[in-house]
Amino acid sequence: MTKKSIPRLIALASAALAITGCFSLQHAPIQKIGGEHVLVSNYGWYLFHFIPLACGNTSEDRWAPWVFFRNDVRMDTLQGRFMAYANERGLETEELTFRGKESVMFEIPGINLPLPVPYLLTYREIQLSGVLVPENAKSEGVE
Amino acid sequence: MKRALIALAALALGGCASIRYSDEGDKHMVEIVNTGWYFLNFIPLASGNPDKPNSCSCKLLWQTANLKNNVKMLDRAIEERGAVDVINVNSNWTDESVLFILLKRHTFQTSAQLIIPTEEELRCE
Repeated sequence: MTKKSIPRLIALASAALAITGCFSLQHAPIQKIGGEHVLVSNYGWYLFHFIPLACGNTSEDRWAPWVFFRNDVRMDTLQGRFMAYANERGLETEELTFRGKESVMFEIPGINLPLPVPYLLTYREIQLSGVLVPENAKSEGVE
Repeated sequence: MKRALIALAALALGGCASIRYSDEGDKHMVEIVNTGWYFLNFIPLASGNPDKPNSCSCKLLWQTANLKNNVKMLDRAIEERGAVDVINVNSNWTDESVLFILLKRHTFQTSAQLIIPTEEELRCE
């Protein structure tokens, strides 16, 4: 491998990461309520708006971070992972909020020059934010 | 002139962590925002310092714009404001790209409502 090919490989890997998809489940403890704040997100790309090309893999036993030609950018898959995490921790769920973003005019990020045909290549993203609290914590007024 | 421009660009790419409050209508809202910059989509350049929000401090070559740091700042806000509870906790992130994958700005936002007892309520306790 030559010195010149290393930056090229990094750039290619970055581009691949940017245009495939990514699933993430982040969590952090909230000291005051003795619970956790959780944010689950996934995004992916579609051909003609409906044919899934690539997105983050939401399977629990996944072997790759991406999945091709399967639609995992769905509310039920994200909520499934959220609920599985809540069950695993033995905590109750509260304050669930979905946030979706869709872009039907494909544009090269940062250039603001969209392709003139809508629904050719579309981008979809879903985020699920929620709080996990110990059972009956709110009603008992945990501090 | 060139040095001043470089310093300005470095400041703009430095990232920023902030905590903002709003107390209109007896509702105590808090918004926590942290931003950071990536080179080639995943190499962190700099991001806001969660230990020093609302200041010109940033962490170089480190990505601090994540849920853990935002919740850490939320915990600090709860303590600072003397809140007894926190409700409606909500987080989301957004990415903005500059020149395709050359630079990426990652923003992590968390908002919540703080339950702060009034002086009267505190006296009753």
